[in-house]
Amino acid sequence: MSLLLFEFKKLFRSKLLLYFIVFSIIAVTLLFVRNVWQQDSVRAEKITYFSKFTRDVSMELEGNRKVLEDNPSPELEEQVRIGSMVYAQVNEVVNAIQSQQTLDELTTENMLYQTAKQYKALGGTFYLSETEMDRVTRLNDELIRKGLPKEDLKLTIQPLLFTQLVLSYALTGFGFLALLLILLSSVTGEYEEKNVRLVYTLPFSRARYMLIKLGSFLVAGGMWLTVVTVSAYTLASQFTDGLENQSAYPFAEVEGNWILIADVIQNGMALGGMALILVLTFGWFIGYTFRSTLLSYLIAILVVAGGALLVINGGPYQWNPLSALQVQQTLLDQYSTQWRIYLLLLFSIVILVIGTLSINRKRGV
Amino acid sequence: MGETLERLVLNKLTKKYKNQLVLDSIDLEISEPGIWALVGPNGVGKTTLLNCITNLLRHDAGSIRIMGKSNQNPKVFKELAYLQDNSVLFDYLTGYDHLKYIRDVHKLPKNRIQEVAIYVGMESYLKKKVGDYSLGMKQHLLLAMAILPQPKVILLDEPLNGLDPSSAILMRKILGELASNGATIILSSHNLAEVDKVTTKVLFLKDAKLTLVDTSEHERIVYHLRVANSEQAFELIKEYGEKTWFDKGLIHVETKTHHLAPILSLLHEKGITVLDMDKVTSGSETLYEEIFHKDEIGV
Repeated sequence: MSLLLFEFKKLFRSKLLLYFIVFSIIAVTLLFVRNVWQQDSVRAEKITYFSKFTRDVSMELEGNRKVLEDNPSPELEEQVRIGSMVYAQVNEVVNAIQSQQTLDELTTENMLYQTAKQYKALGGTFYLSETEMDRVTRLNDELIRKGLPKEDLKLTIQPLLFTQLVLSYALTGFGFLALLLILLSSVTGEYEEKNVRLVYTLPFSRARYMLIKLGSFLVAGGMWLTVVTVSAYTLASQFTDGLENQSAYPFAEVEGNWILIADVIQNGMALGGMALILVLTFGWFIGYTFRSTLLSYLIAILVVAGGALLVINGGPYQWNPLSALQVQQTLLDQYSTQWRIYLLLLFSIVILVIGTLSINRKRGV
Repeated sequence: MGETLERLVLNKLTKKYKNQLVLDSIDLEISEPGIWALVGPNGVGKTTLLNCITNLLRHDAGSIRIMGKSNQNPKVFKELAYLQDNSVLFDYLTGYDHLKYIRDVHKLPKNRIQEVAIYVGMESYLKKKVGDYSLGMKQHLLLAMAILPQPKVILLDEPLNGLDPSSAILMRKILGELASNGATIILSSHNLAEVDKVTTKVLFLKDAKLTLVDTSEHERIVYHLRVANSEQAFELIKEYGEKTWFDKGLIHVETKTHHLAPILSLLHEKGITVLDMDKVTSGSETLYEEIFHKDEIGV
């Protein structure tokens, strides 16, 4: 344990890891400040969004009324009647948004979509598809049932949703790569600066030292992930009114089932944690194999960033361990984390065994 | 094996760098405490030999055993310490961090660090970062790290490099005490004057071969005399030394004995006044010149 602590101390005293963690906290804080500043504009954008419907419906109603004056038609009259209801309900939604009555906003929005669907069926124009209106209605129903306000997922300040937002930035191939490059230099640097000769003249095997080093990587990775998560949640909790039922926020709908925010974070942490273990084990392996910072960096960037880009751009997915690097995307696309976790664990163990066996076969530095 | 376990055994140790033979089938057996100096010009392979012994370099042939164990067994480092150059130190850690690491690895008692820090005289800067240390302070730390676990075999690569005179005296004193307390010490050096002050057992490394010589058997004393009538004096005393010559107004008398009394009596009898006298003792240096020739001395 004391040897692990020493390795961890080395990581910390070399400052890079410390700077990275501080940088991560600053980034989380800036993201939160941005979201707080954007709250008014979130409402303004909602109002603009619904006002567009008001304008469109009002113009169509005006035209239809003129037509009715010259050519009375019961169908058109019905369309105008329903259209007027749509117009009134859009205004009710806008009023609810302005007065920040969130439950009223959701209820009237659902009523609006019911009426809008009728309006569209009568030949009226409403620029939302039925599928989209049904999806939003289902979400609103779920929120009403749980007594939760609707959040803009990119601009949220609600603690758990904000935590998820932060994790969606951190738990990516690029987030992992930044951490990996910092930790990787602690292996290659010891060869390049020759400090490793001190460790190699102490009474324990090189394999054991490597494992201790990997342990320090994993502790550092876990610490970074914890700091990022805790700082995001703590910050949001301090500056917003917590909601009792926030963990039940319906984050996304997959195959008719709602994925709750608490599950997204829990599974994301599990999958992200395992993906982090794989990345760090991989970095540890290439660091000890190539013993050159430049070469190891190139390989790490090529594999990790390249893998992440491949997944983002729809490359091989199912059995690709690198797909888990885009944790949020994987969760939402697949929502079956268990087998992925085992797959990542398997890859990590294989790399660990190969690395440990290869160092035991080496002599010299 | 019994009580007299070989502390260091090199058997046909061979090391090549590409086509250059650096260590050629070297045999060495050291079984007792004491200090051995490993001497040779720069680049001859002294550090290579120490690195091979400690498995930091792979050797091409032969075997190395330390305290009865293969050098590839990391457990040898329970009884073997290697003081390397200061690039092994971590600049961003303190001296205490380094010593604590060694203490934890060897599971030594907590007060051991303080004991050793006082012993090597580094307690005042123990908690400072190594990056702020002078060369001499780094050497002190390396020495403290080497002796912390009280090893039976200590290898030191140029331990006297960068030391001021008082630190060098302290280092010699510590090495002497360690040897008299039962440690086997091998130190590489190209400072022959310092070597003569710590040991008479010298391992000369030349042409990839190792030769062990007891320099006490080759000790030479050269007296430099400045006298009133030097030419007459030179004629009188030239038969006394093993080698006597006259140069730049000085008479040089080389002898194995430490006594100049017969020469001084003779000069006194003949009424020749000795104006000044100087004595230079050389053990390894004389041998070094014989072995490596003057033109190879790159010290």
